Parts: sequence; C-alpha cells; structure tokens
Amino acid sequence: MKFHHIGVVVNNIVNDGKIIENVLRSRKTSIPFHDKIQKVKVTFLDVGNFYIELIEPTETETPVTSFLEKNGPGVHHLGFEVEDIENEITKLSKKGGLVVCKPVLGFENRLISFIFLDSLPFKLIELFSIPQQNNSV
Amino acid sequence: MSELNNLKLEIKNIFFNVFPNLKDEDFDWEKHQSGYEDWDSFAHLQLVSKIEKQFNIRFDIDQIMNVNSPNDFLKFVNHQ
Repeated sequence: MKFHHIGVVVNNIVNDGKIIENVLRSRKTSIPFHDKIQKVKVTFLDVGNFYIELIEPTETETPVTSFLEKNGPGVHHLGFEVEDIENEITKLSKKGGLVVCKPVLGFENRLISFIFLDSLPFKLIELFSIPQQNNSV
Repeated sequence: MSELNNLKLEIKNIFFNVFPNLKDEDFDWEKHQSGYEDWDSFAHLQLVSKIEKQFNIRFDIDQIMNVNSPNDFLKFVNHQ
C-alpha cells in the first residue's frame, strides 16, 4: 500500500484550503469537485510527498456532516493507493476491517473502497486502485 | 442466567461502551438508530466491529446496513 493522502473534513474547502495553502505552502490545489454520490465537495492540496484531501459536506444528512458536527474539522481518513484492491480488502478484513463501501469507480477512474478499522485511532482507510488513465490530481 | 440473557447483557454493554453518555432509561431494545442521539455512521461501524470481535462473527456489507436497533444485533448474533 502506498500512502497517498490525508482526508480532512472541513466547513469550507475554499476558505480552509487557502489557510492550508498559506501555512503549508502547498504546490498546487485541484479544482473543487462535487461528488454527488458521497454528497461532498472535495479538493486536493499537493503538499509535497502526499496530498491533503479537503472534504466539505454539501447536504445536512450525510455521514460527513455527522462527523463534522460530532468532531469538528479534522482528520477523517487516510488514503492509500494499492495495486490489487480486492487483495488488500481481504487482508484488512482479516485484521478486523469492515468494508463500508465495496469498490466503486471514483476519481481518475480508480476503484475506490472504504474500510473501517476500529483498532486504528483514525478508524477509516480509503483504498484506491492505480489510475486507469493518466490524469493528474 | 440464561444464555439469551447473557447475550443481551453483552450486547447492551457494547452499546454503553460505544455510547458512554447513554442513560440506562434511554436504552431500548426496539428503538431504532434514529432514536439514539449519538448513533451516527461511525458509531454504527464501531458497534458492528465490537460485536464481531466479541462474538467472533462477521457481518457482510448488506447485514451491516440492515441492523438498525439493539434488537437487530441481538437477533443477528443469536442466529449465528
């Protein structure tokens, strides 16, 4: 598994993105993307060796909204790029992982899955396959 | 104490572990997820994960989505 990003839930991806850009001197920020399935807006900040994914809920009744209300802005998940997503899911399941979302096609035509691990302090892992096309984040 | 009562006690303890602010009078076997103030998606996964570990069982993704009350968990565990 190759670490790719930290998913951070925020109130506003534009305002919070500007603050992070300024403080961490991020190299590039992607255009905000509205994920209508997950009911969130996301943007990626390139901070060098990895990305920060900012996640803003777009509706009131979503898991991300609930996370924000309960915990405030903060780390929501860690994202890892994997070569064989089904194999990694099997491995994590054997370690007590719950498959929250079976692999579905997501950004950059990657297969994306979320695994919940209660034993980890950050609980949620996002796995995604290598891109099917040569798009940059 | 009967096996079912033991089971109920263990499941109830898991609920109180996941919801430390839950009062005994607010716990109801039939009450659905929406009736519990702190039962959000993360808490739901914590409940499933702790119940899997406690009883050495596995939920598949549909089963995770279908359990919606303490009684649903009890029925699921009891049928394993």
